[in-house]
Amino acid sequence: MPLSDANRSTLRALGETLFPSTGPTDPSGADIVPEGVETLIAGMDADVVKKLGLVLSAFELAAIVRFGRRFSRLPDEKRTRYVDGWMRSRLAPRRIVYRAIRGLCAGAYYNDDRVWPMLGYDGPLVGRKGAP
Amino acid sequence: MSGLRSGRTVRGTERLRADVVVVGSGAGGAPAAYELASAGLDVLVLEAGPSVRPEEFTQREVDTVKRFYVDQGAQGPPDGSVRVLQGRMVGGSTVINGEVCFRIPDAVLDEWAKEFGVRGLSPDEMRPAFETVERMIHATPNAGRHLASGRRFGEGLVKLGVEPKPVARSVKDCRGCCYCFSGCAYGCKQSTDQSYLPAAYERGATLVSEARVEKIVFDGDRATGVFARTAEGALEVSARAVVLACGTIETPLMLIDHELGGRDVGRHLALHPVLVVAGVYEDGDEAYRNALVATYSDAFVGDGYLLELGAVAPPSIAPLAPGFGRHHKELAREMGKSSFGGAIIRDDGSLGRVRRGRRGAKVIDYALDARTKEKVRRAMRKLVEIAFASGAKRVALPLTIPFEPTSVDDLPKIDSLGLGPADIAFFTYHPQGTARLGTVTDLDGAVRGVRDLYVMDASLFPTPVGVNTQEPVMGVATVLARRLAGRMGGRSVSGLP
Repeated sequence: MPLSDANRSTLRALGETLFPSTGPTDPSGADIVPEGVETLIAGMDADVVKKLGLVLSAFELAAIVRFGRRFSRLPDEKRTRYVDGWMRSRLAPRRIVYRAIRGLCAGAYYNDDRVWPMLGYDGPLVGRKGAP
Repeated sequence: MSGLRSGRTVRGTERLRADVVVVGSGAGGAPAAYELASAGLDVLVLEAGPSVRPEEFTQREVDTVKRFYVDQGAQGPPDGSVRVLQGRMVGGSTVINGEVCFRIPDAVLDEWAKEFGVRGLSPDEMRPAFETVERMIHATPNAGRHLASGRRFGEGLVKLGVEPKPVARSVKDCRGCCYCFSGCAYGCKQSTDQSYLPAAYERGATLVSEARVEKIVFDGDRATGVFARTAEGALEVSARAVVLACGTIETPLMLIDHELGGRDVGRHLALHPVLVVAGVYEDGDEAYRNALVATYSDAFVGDGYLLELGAVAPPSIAPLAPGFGRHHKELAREMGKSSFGGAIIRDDGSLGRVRRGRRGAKVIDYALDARTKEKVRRAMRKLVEIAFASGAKRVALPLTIPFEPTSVDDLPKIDSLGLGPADIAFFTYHPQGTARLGTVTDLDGAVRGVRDLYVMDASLFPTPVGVNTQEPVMGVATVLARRLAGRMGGRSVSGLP
């Protein structure tokens, strides 16, 4: 079961906020995270994917309480403050949600070939000429 | 017939017969199968996962995790505090481990004897088994360039007065690519699919991959075989003995599903949470283009942890950069020039448990007890101290709320950090202890309350071994399988205890 369009918007906004571009050779997470997350979760139990969708929706909509708009429609500065609020929340379940979302997005982002030049990483060796 | 067969070739229901059917082909099942076959017994191994050739590994961790890790690498307690990583393929977790080889420390074997009444696994009785294991998996101390990934952290350790030692690894002609957790694309790692299983096939054993055992079959109180499902068929296997070697998570679930194992089954899950601290260096090099794990130190075992030093490819270590946003990215981009120190925490007071939840779901409960938290704190202080002594300009820790020490002056701040399940994240490849010797099983690994059903994997360990679990599991499986072979009338093999 794939994620909803709303979930994809949340992931795009998360990608931008968690992993913003810092220069011309550094791609923004907005362009990488949604597709990467879908690849990571493809084939997972339908229950797990459903739960992820619900968590992303809750994260998206809870912004309305604090900022009057859903997360993906907030300006950059407020998105950062919102994510920071989850990360530093006194409530452990909120920090757990932040960590789960960040972990998934980081897995999607850093495993993408387009990000590797920024890391100074030239990729796998296997099949490369002259490789061990 | 002997050798490897894909379960995909099974059509309809096939009936098979063996002296012993072994469920699982990892660090427990493969040595058990080899020893039993060496004794002349007819052995059938059933493995739920597929057979994977080295050429199928892409050196992209995410590919392997998605295809060949249990639950696509997402296994663990619901709070995400520890990722419990296990392989699901022929060879089990031996295919995706860091190859690190240690015998079970004598102190741990003594503890098992004194506190749990374990007999027959004394250091003297284990020695011949470990010698066999080390020969079979080619355990060899790192030398030359294979020490390079641990160089920086090692220099820090030396400044604190401790000399790191080369780690022994189960590998032949290692190319030093660092992609061990992704499966060895060169076939150099001596995982059981490259070592024990081919030797077992030569001795007449058969393995069917992609055959998931659903039921143990009983005649009265005697286990007489198993029922397994394949993609398009089923196997009904009858055997004189059934050996469960499905690992610390699946073995207790199999027992629970058959209402076996008593009150203790699934309890006392220990995980060896691994605390990784990365040091980033001004003049760093690509330390990861070497062995994943280079060196270790057992100087802090008394404090509750074993140190291992190495380096890993940037996509795997970059997420360790704290926080998010621009600040996170600035550190992440430098992580390619990092080295890590890892502390394997011996969580012997663990409150962990594997159980069935609603609608039969697998549930892993785990929380650090107060003593284990103190071990984590000590390990964190030491790793940060080593990192700065090694010349690191920045240090990254796996904490939810960023904490970036800038010098050893910040060490006292570690004492006030929260270490609850929401505060710090670990991973592990070493789950142990959910079907303990002497409680769930007798001292031969025979499940109590029934006959001819055995456990031969890490779930047997009464307390966590405090070192990488591959060789310990292989050693214990070797001893127990030799004993079983003796009882079943197999030929004596050298070193039979």
